[in-house]
Amino acid sequence: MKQCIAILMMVASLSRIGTAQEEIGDPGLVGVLVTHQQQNPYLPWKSGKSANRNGYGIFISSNRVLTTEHLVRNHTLVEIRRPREGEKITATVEIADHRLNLAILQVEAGTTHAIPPVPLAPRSNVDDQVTIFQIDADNDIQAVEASVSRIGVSHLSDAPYSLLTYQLLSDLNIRNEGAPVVKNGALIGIVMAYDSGTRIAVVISHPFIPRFVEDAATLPYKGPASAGFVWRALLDPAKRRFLGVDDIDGGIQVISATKGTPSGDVLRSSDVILTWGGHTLDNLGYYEDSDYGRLELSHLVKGRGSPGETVPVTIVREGDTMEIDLVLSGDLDPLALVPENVRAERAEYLVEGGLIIRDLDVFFMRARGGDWRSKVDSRLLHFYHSGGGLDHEPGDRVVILTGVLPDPINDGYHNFRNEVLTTVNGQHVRNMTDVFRIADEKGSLTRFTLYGTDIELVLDCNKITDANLRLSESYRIPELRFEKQPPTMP
Amino acid sequence: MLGSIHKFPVPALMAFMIAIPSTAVRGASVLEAGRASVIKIYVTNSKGDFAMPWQMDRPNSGTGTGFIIKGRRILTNAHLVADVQFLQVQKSDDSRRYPATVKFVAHDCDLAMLEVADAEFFEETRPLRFANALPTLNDEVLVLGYPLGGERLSVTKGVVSRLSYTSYSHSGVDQHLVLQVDAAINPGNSGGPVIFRGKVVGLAFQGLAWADNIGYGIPLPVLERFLKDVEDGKYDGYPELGVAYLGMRNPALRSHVKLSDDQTGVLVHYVDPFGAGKDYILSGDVLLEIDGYAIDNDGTIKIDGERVVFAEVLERLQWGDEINFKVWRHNAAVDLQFPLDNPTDPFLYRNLYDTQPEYFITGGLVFSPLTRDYMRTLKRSGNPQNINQIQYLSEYSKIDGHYENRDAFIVLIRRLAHPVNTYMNHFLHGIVESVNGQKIRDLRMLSDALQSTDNEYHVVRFLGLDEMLVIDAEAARRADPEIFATYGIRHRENLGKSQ
Repeated sequence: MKQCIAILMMVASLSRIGTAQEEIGDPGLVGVLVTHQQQNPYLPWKSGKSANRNGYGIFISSNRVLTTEHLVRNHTLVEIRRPREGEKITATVEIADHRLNLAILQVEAGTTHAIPPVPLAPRSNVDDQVTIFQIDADNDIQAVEASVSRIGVSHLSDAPYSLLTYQLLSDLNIRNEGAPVVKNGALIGIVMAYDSGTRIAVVISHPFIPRFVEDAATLPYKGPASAGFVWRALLDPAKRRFLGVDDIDGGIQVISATKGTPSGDVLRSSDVILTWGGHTLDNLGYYEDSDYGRLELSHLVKGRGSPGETVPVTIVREGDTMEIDLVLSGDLDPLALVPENVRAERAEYLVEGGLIIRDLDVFFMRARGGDWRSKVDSRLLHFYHSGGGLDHEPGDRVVILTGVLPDPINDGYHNFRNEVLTTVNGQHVRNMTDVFRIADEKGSLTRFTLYGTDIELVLDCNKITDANLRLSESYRIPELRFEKQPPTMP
Repeated sequence: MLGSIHKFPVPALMAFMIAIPSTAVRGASVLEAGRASVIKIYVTNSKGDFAMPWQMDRPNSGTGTGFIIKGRRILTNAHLVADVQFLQVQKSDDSRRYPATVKFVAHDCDLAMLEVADAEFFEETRPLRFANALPTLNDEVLVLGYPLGGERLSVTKGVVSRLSYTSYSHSGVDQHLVLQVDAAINPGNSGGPVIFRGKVVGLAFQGLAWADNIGYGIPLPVLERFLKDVEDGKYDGYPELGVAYLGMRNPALRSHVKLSDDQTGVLVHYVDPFGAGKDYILSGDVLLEIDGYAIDNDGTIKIDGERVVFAEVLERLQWGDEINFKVWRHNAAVDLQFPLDNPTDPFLYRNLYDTQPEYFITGGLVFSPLTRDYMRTLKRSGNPQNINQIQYLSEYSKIDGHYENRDAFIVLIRRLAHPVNTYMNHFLHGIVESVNGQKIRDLRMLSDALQSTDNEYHVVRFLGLDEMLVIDAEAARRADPEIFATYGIRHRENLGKSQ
């Protein structure tokens, strides 16, 4: 009987939200208008055409708006617009995290009317009735009824990471990403992706939103944690016997641990992990979460852990059960031989005598378009997948000669592209930092060895300064060199 | 240029049997000569199935063309008679078909020689003769053959539009001289003669699927080299020099290796471990001359007033022939002379013919050496997991040094579903690195290791995969008879060469 009343009350409140805007108050919804421009990975001084992307955001304080990272990726200008208003207000991106697909925008105080910020909701449950807010064609607030249909770990739509997300079944089409999801006046999440075929919206939600907002308030920003290893379900009975865990119920196998992380020092391939921070893992890698029930291990790391935290872990190694302490890591991408560069940030590069030199990243390869894996040179892909069989250290990169801008100084070399550089001026190069250092020491780069050969491509050292001037003039290269601030290792 | 050695795969030049539309015939004598020498070939081929190597692919039947030359020999294309199961020949204006056999086949240049045992077949035939020289551009040539579905000889006419190096799609990796003709050529009759002034100057063999009016003939020098090669009773194939080089147009590069202004040549940046040059030419050498011809900075030489790539000298040579180079090494000219006899190169991935795929099966896991034919089956199945590794090794295994200590790359090509291998799917298309800690050189070694009774478990490691595969040796042994019965497998293995 009690339950019945609760449901009736909820239905009543929902219908109010749907019909009478005034009564729900203003949820602090804004339209987010982004002009963005992507770098050209092959000619890294060049930018692509600028384009526009529209989405939504929601005020979480008097001058801060929460939206998705993907919406503001590679922005050149971000503006917000309140519903029922035409005025566009410039915003800056305070912080954006591609691993959570969340961003906070900031607007100058006093540029908007005082809007009471939306409080952040605690967790939701499957079957909860919620409201998604968006802006309709008349620039008015539209409330869309939806229900939570699944809570589980799934892949982000624009990054190779997975996260606990809510899936909502909505009544109406959701027009853009960033639409806030509200229940009882509190923010549950924001829409990351929507499939009009299935009417399912994927939502970034608790616990990531409150954690992100809190994390962003204290600098330096830490971001979500990473475990620093790759694992797989351990189902094969023969393998379980071989690893000495056939009389134990659960456990997953460690495939590899990332060098340069605490896990890389502690874990080994073929270790079996039985418990993580006191939670027992089944043989598929699921545990019983106190908030959400059965969830995959990755949520214990990203949703409950944070970088630097120590987690007690029970493992079986060569038949022996042991307790170890694992320290969680932050973003692992800077440690990778071939980083993902999900945010498509401008690469460091050097153009010397028309030779375009930069580090390999996945954004460079993905720029080949759909089915890029079959179009990219197989050796570059091989470096990405297996480190080229090299025993690389954190900070090592694959330095590539992406191409040659024809000029008299490089006559005979015009057909080289997508080659891996191993030495410059006779010195081994591990990354662009090495390349810049040698360029600074020697004044110019005139000898280059390519992977798989032991001969050098040679440029005339007496003519290179003139050639560089000529190249920068004729190919309109504003800077022949782009060097970032030294990266900070997590 | 880097990568001028064999890279794989060569973009497909679609080989097809070419048909020649009938046109008005000008020279009646040519038609007469054709009737007495150009024959129709009926063939049924069946190739091993490289995806399921214990069985054969579906048989294919087709027709093509051949022509009789001196000595009751018939020349045609290798691609017509590759993997032949059944072969007959028929003369123009004769209803009888005669059984024929393949005497020699040269898959690297798409040529074959057929024999007909029945002497009656050669009655009233007249062999075609070879010309003394190739026609030049814009010379009018005739192509004779049997279009698909036609029983009677047809003739078409065109002009020589180019003479160039092009890939021979039959093997997939070889490049030789090609006679390009602007005749409208359609699927239907490979193997027909290309005639100039009544004599053979080429053999029609492939067309371009995406271009009109471009047909390719195998030109006279290639035909003559083939005939000379088989004089000793066997076909050896083309010698491979096995060097990749960089042109030396760049003055800074030239002065770096201390070449004087009047010297020209190309800089060797890679020496193939399976090429004829491997013990003689060094990476870093500048090739100055080949057999007395000066090599220019772009790799060409001048023969009879024509500029051609220096490899053309090698094109006319046989196995065992000597070759002379003058090279620039450590600031001095050095004369080199060495024989062109190559070891077989297991890492050059040609299309395979007239051979059954090698394999080994245990516990429903099918292992097979990496071949071009297997890679083709992978692409047909939509580029599955682990394919990058295979693609990479097929292109770079020699350059990047991955070929050392092995004779083949052994791939887990298939899982025949059975409870014993239920959780092993993600290892599919992986390349075996070791079994029980022992590095795997070839299929024989894998077969021995996985049939060893010394181990309770076999631990298989794959290149580039951090996870190991564990096979319960006894469970696999017990499962095999059941798996073989279910999937119709008569033999556990075909170890082929390594048998």
